[in-house]
Amino acid sequence: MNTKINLITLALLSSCSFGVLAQGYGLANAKTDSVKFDAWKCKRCVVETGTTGSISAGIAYNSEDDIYSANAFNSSNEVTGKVDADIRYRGEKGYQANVNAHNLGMDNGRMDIDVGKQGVYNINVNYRTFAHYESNSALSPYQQIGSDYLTLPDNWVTAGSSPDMTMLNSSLNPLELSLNRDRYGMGVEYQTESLLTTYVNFQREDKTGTKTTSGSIYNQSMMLAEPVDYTTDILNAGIKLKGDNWFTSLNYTGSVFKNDNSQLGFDSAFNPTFGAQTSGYMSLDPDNEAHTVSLLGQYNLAKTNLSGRLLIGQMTQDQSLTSIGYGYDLPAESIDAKVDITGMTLKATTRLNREWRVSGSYDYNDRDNKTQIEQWTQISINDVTGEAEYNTPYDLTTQRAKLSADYRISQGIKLDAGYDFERDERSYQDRETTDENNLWARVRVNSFDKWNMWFKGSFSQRDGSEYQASETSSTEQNALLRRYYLADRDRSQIEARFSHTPLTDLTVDFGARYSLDDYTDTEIGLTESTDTYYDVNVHYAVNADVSLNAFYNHQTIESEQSGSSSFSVANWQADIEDTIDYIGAGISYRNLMDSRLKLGLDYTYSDSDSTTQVSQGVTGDYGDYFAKVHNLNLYGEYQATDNMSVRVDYQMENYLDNDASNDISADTIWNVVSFGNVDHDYTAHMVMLSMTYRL
Amino acid sequence: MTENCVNCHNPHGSVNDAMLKTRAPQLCQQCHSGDGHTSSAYLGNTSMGSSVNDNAFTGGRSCLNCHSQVHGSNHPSGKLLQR
Repeated sequence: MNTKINLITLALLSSCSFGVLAQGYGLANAKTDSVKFDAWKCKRCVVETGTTGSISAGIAYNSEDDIYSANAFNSSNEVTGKVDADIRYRGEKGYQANVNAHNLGMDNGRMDIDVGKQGVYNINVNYRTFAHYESNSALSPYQQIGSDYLTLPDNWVTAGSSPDMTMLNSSLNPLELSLNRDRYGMGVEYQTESLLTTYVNFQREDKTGTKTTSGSIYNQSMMLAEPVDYTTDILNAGIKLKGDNWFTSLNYTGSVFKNDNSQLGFDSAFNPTFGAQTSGYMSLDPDNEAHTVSLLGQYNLAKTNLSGRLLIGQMTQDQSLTSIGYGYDLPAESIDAKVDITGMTLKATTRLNREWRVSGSYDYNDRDNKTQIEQWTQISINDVTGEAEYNTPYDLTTQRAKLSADYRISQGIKLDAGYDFERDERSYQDRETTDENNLWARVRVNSFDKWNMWFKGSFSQRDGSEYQASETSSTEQNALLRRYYLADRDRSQIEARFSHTPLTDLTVDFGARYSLDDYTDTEIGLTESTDTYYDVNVHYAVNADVSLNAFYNHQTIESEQSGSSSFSVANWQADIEDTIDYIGAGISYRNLMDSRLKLGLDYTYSDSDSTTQVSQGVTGDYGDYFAKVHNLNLYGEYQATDNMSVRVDYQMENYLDNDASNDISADTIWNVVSFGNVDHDYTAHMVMLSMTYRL
Repeated sequence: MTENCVNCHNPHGSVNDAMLKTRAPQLCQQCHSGDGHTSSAYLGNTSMGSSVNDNAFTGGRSCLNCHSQVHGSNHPSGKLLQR
């Protein structure tokens, strides 16, 4: 056997796709003029051709009236079908195709099809749908729901307050608040022999549905159904190039957003007051575009990795302003908004020796708002002429620098520590510059036989330039106000995690985390926040066929804030406590009934609760605000023949929530026409029968 | 208000609707303290007879009953986030 030919043969066969090549022995360098490719027979590397995988189809039934249950069951229909697929086709000469589908036919389903030639090209077509259901019992007297003008019935009688609206209760109809997204995509990737890859992907997303908004005229408000009919097109294209130790790519991403509705108009349910308005108009999300170009690179030396990215982009919006019902002169037809984005990231990691590794990074991101400033007259009911305001083109520049080191103290004990710095510079806001310094350290211990653990602590301090609670918002703020995202803050965090394997089949994981945010200079605003979290998970493989798992998580978040009703020092306080408990257990049992039957059972319970108390001499609270959910999933899968299995799934959801401030009917609050009580209280069941066929 | 989604929302989940870190009116009052109804103490249910759900400041959508355009607006008179 000729050694040289053998080397080439092995190289060709061992990389069924174009792979990384060693310097000098690269396939591109081989002298292949005299090689008789036609006479070669692939004997050693047998490529299985044909189709493998599985396909399944199922049908599900659920009878729940409350549409919120559709979030858990993936369908709002009583009867729904689905298709799952995981099919691979391999042909001669590297041709291949993959078809993947999951819950296709249900409200949250997807499909991906790839066709191509391995190492040369790939064509992808994909589809995805997802939906979120909020309610189907929101009540509204408005008609033409889903359109951009909501009308009241012809016989409507306006009133000064909602309980006096004689036609209100008889005009109420339930409406559905839900959002659906359909995404269609396709992409092509092409790889040339010189290891240059080009790709282009396109995706269109259609988002439709209805969501909650409120329209207001003077001091009267009505909850309205906002129509959602958006289209977002995203185009992604680029070139990737790689060498022995390096990689680079140039990429473009562009997105175009279009809203089929530019404003929402509505009849006023109330008597006209100042300005004699009988209808209102509110602007809806305007059409806009964003484009970015980025250059990425990575270079690997023996002990050092370097990577970087440069980014430039622009976001624009020049949709005509909503001028229906606006009587003043407009300085321009549209805001013609333009924001330029510039970004740069550099990262380096180096292994100094067996014990030490050091990393550093720098990130710069600049948002430069180039929108023209104009004077806009605000509709005002206090003055005859109206007040003029200027638009404020906010700029933001963020810089982050990080330095960290890993030190291996001994076998199984590792220490890492680091320092991070962040500087944010803002225009037109209360504080021009904020700086945050963060110091952290972590110890990982893997040296014990049945234990793995790590401990982490960090402390960061934020301060900055002088804080001026100025006039950049529409009215002057209390001079003692410190907005929490700009305020001086000390943040401390500690965290520990343990993993214990007392027996080979039993694993116990547990951990805890505590963090404290102390807003040291704040007298009005958020003053302190704490977050406590702990969890425990157990997994036990009873034997080869039976496994059990159980878990419990708990989290408590407490916040304190102060306010002043006298526009001076603090004279009221709010205390908020959020608690979340999440518990669950499951069992799976395989190989029953002569290894043909698999059973599984999973149960989870989640309870989230929030308590708000506000004190000013007297203490008040905001009532019950919680959500409690029980979920039970039971399944059985029976292997009927070698190629076919049948599965039955049963799911149950018991859902109860309450929001005391919305335990109201449409006319409870005199100056609000509301959707009423949209709380959920149901026990829903779903049964699904499916069949899987193995190809 | 215009900087970052995480100023108000917690992407990893929250007990509040819309994954807000804190509910209205408290969330809004952490940044707004003007001389007027922004700074009042909204006590909620008290033994003196006030209720959380009988007024537009704490009931319904709270501040958003009137100031619903919290994400911005393409209206020339949009400064108060009502249009």
